[in-house]
Amino acid sequence: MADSRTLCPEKNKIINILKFNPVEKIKKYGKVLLGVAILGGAVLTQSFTTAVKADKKLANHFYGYDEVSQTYLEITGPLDETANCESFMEPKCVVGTDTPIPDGFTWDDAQNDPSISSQITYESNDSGSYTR
Amino acid sequence: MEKRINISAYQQDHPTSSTKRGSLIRRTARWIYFRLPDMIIYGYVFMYMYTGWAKFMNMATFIKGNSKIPHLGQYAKAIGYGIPSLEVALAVLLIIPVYWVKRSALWASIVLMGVFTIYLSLMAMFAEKKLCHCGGVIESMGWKTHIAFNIIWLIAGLYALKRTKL
Repeated sequence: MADSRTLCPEKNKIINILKFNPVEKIKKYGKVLLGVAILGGAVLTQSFTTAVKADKKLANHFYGYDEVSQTYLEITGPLDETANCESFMEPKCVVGTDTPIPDGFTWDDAQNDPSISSQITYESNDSGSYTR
Repeated sequence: MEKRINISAYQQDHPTSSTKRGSLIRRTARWIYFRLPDMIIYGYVFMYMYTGWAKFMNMATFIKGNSKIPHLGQYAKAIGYGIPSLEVALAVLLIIPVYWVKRSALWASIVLMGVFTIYLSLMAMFAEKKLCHCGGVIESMGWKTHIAFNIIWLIAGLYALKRTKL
């Protein structure tokens, strides 16, 4: 019965030459090496771009001190500790929590209201730089 | 009569791409044209490895963010471990020099990109509080930019798939 090997002997001859052709093998493994280099590059790039966040803790909600109202209001935009904290005398100019708390609280309110004070504690072990 | 046989269609040298013919710009354009599918595939490798690794490094945030997605929040942990694993696996499979492995991985990559694009579009249209935990610099893109970025890669992936078909 005729099959591809008898119908296309030239094609099979060329395929066999390519299979054992060292140049083709070098090209093939060169591509694999390039791929491995790209994988490594991606990991290095990721480490570089997230290095800033490495020493910061995580929270979902941030409240910054507002001088006009003299209360803490939620920060929804990008966090900027310098802008949010400069010239404020409040104990914690940016507060990070995992669950939302009502806007417009004062530091004293926070300490007196158990539902809020349970989430934020002045100079607790959770103090530090935070990011989303 | 001699019969011309195509062994590797998308990598076949065009007669006029020889260095003895054509200007430098034309030769460079031809070089890019014949290697564009490979460049797209390596682009996918880089992107998926980058975002997958970023998610692995920030797994707690990723799972926390997933828990807030409507309808999918209950599967937060499964999504949290599954998606980065899939991305890293696809990135590795795309560099393996076996035709059917590479092609299957490219298909899966395009499908995954499509799923991400649909998710972003739905978030942009319907969600009050938009969530995206894509990893690294991609997370800092605006929503429209992110959707456009995904669509471009989706089209590029489909183009690479068409060009690499034997």
